[in-house]
Amino acid sequence: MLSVAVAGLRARWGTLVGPLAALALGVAVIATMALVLGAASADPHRSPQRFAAAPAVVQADPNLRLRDRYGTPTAVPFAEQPALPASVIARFPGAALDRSFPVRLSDGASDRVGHGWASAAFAPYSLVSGRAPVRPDEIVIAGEGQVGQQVTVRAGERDGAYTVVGIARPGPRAVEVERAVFFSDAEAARLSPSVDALVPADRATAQRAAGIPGVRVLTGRDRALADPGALRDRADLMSLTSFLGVAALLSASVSLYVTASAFGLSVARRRRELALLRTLGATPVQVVRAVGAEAVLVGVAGSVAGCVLGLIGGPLLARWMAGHDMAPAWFTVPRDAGAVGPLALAFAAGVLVAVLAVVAASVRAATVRPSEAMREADVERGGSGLLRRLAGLAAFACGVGFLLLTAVVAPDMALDAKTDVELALLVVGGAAMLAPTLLPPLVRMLTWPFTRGAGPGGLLARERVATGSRQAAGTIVPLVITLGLALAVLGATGIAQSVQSRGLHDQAAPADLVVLPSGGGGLPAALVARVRAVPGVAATAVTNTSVLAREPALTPFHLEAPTPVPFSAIAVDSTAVLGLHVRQGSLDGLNDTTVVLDGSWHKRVGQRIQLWLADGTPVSLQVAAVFDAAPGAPRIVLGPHRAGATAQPDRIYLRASSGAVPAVRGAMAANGGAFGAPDAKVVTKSGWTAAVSDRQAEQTRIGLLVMIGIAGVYGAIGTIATAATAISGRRRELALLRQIGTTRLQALRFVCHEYALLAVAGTLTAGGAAGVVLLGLSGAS
Amino acid sequence: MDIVRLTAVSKTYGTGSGAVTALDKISLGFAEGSFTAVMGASGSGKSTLLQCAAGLERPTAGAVSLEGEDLSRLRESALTRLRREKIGFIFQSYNLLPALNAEQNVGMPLRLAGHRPDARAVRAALSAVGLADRARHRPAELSGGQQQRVAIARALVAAPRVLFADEPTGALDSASSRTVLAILRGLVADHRQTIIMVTHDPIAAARADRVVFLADGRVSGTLEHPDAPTVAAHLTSLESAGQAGEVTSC
Repeated sequence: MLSVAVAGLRARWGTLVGPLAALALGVAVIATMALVLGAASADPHRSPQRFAAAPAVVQADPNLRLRDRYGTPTAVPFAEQPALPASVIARFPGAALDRSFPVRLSDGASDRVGHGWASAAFAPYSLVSGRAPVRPDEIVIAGEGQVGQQVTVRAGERDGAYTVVGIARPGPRAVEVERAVFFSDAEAARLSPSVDALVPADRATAQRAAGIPGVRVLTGRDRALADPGALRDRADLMSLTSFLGVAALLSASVSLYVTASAFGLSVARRRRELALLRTLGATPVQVVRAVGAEAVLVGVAGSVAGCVLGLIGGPLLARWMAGHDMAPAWFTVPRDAGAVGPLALAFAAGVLVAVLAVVAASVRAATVRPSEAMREADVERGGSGLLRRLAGLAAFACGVGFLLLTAVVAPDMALDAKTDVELALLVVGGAAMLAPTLLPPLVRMLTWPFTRGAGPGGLLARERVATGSRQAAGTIVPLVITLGLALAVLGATGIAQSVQSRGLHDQAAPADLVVLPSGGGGLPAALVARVRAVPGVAATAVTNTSVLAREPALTPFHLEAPTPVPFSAIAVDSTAVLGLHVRQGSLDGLNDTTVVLDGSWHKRVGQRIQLWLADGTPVSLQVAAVFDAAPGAPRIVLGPHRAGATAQPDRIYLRASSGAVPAVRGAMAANGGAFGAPDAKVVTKSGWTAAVSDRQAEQTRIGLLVMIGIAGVYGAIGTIATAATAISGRRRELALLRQIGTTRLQALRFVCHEYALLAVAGTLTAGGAAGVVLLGLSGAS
Repeated sequence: MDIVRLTAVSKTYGTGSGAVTALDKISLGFAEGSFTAVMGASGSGKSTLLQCAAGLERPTAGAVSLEGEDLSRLRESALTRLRREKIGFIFQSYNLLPALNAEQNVGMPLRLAGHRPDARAVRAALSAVGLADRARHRPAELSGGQQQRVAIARALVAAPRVLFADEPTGALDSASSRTVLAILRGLVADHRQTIIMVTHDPIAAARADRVVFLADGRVSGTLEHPDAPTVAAHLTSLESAGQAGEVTSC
């Protein structure tokens, strides 16, 4: 039978171009995602930079290591690199200590990083001119500068006057990963007492630390994990992988739908041929096998083509993401042995999609009656299959059910892009499956005005769609899927955005003004104190942080999640200007030993909760009050010093009479000094909430837009391919129309009318499905 | 003994008020080695008769037997196997697979039965219809008459007990028709092949041993050892009777 399938492929490639193109493109998108995913989850991602010349690096372990309830060890990364405990440092006498801390120079650059001079040897940095810093007021700067220059340096809260005594440059092959400022080691220890890493004399010494809990020893390629920004890069890549997971799910589903409809169309076109095979003595099983063999051949060919395309697309996507801040700037997809796994996965997915797609079509092929070969006309029997209708209804009902469940049980889930995509897939997919059932009444409604007139166009189009609703549906399914998903997902992110800004607005409800840092970094403590001291002003300084906590139960019956997960939280120095809907207890009780929680944690005032702070410190805090968090807003409010010792507030909510505003401005300008501009600016509350956007949410939104763009182009190609398949099968009908006195132009117009009609019907279906999703989501939040 | 036997066969399409009765309690027998033509006006049920007799359609009521075996008792796959082994089919529109060449088309029934087509058997079938030199041509490269001869070769390759032909000359010019009919007649004369042929062409029907006339799903008459003028006359009287019937019923 295989030889027959091959011969069939050769002669019938015209009808198979649609499925083949749909599949190849789908696999290309999946392969692209898989390659980027593979590269993003490779660990570590790049060669060491900061410690390239160090034999080994000893660091505090930035992961919470636990065993889950099945005893499997798991690691949950902290948001910040914890400091190395003094007990560990004491075990390595003579080892070089590395300290890293943000500094700001009066020449303007605010994103510099301070180190002790001992750290310079590990990159390695070498002096271009001048000498090493010796006295406390001497520094060496990397990059541009002049020896002998006097500069003011701000480290943490303190400003100091320093003299540049040397200019350093990283090694010839090293990439500059930060703009370093080197102090004398004693001065560095004074500015930043905590030790970030320790470099022992050799590897053997380093191994002595291997057994100490909470400490990790990095050697070889792993030293890259100690590079500046490694944690942030890791977090970025993790959010990238979760986003790419959504995107891959999206594109795999779209390609499944599109390929399935393309195959379905090609089987429908060959109904007579299959009927003929049946009259020649082919059993239904044989017909299914023939169609299936063809699908596997098309699947293999399409998947190979898709993998080749993916090998081009993967690196392109990686570069684009790096260029748009969605991935670290150095992120690339290498074309090496690491690409084999993802490509094999994409290939298997392609063949699987082809086979799955054809299963539906072959069930239909098997039901072909042999006597159909006798009929002259290619009119298909009946409307859509019962199975398809049931599957469509089930998907639609599941989607709507989930929507309602989300709205009732966990409104926060509606803000998760992944949930939105899954919901949209169910609802839109269901609508697409129901298309053959929905189309005839929809088309009858749409053509009603046109069938009133004398022209034959409306009548012809209506009857074509009514008698061949499955073929017609096959033509518009790609359109329904991509347009429906695009509308639903974009609308959902829009809703999420507005909910988020409403949450922020709620949080700052009692405030009139918001003080924000004007440059990078946070607000110095002195500035907060000065603003707070202005008479007639109430202030709340808010610091964004994150904590690890065991997820609250969704329902009382829900088991507690086995491993802690990160939650965003805020730390506040007072609750004077904080808009929280307190349900139980009082905000007055909030201090460093207590916590205020959202009701979803199912805790009561007086109970305790176990948390891990951003730097990994485990704490047990007593619940002072329970509040109702707005969807998307932080569900944990911590005391003033729980964001970490060096963390600076991100904003101050102010309630001030209009008379006090000039005094506030004066307090902020007081320390302009060497740095020219003031450290902070005052904006109105509404001006602030409008401008705020979450960096990662914004990236996800851009990413989804791109994904939908890709899916849209893919859907358009799929639509055109299926339309081409359908039209090529209608030559006979068009020839017939020409014979009964239709001009060429008229015939062309009929076809155009019909496709325009289908496009409108498809758009309406897609819009309706997306509308259901959006209605549900906006109801949920 | 009749090789194909229809007993009180009825076939109704659709249900309720839209129901159409194509066959109305027909009983007919076809003897082994006989060549029968079935004639009748459009809509008289002759194609349905053929499809029911060949096991392509299941009758609504009544029984069809082939070599004494009741077809209505067989499941779809068993029925397909039986068709594959014992029945050959020729269509008006040839129905060759456009993707395959003549040889592959002829070998198809054998392939479907799970055998590797025997090249000699395929060649023999093709030379029996005078097309040995066209084995590698695709249907599009053959004339209508040649395509129909390929279809006959395909129907014969598995040595069927009964050959069914549905308007085999309907789409052919008179010269091609003559060739095709000569081949069919030769099969009956030389190999005692049983042939049941639906046609509306009196000249084609005249090559048969017997003509069965159908009207409104019933047998309205038979003619043994027909000649063309008699068949034509019978057909004309049948049609005028039908029209008269329609007029009176109005």
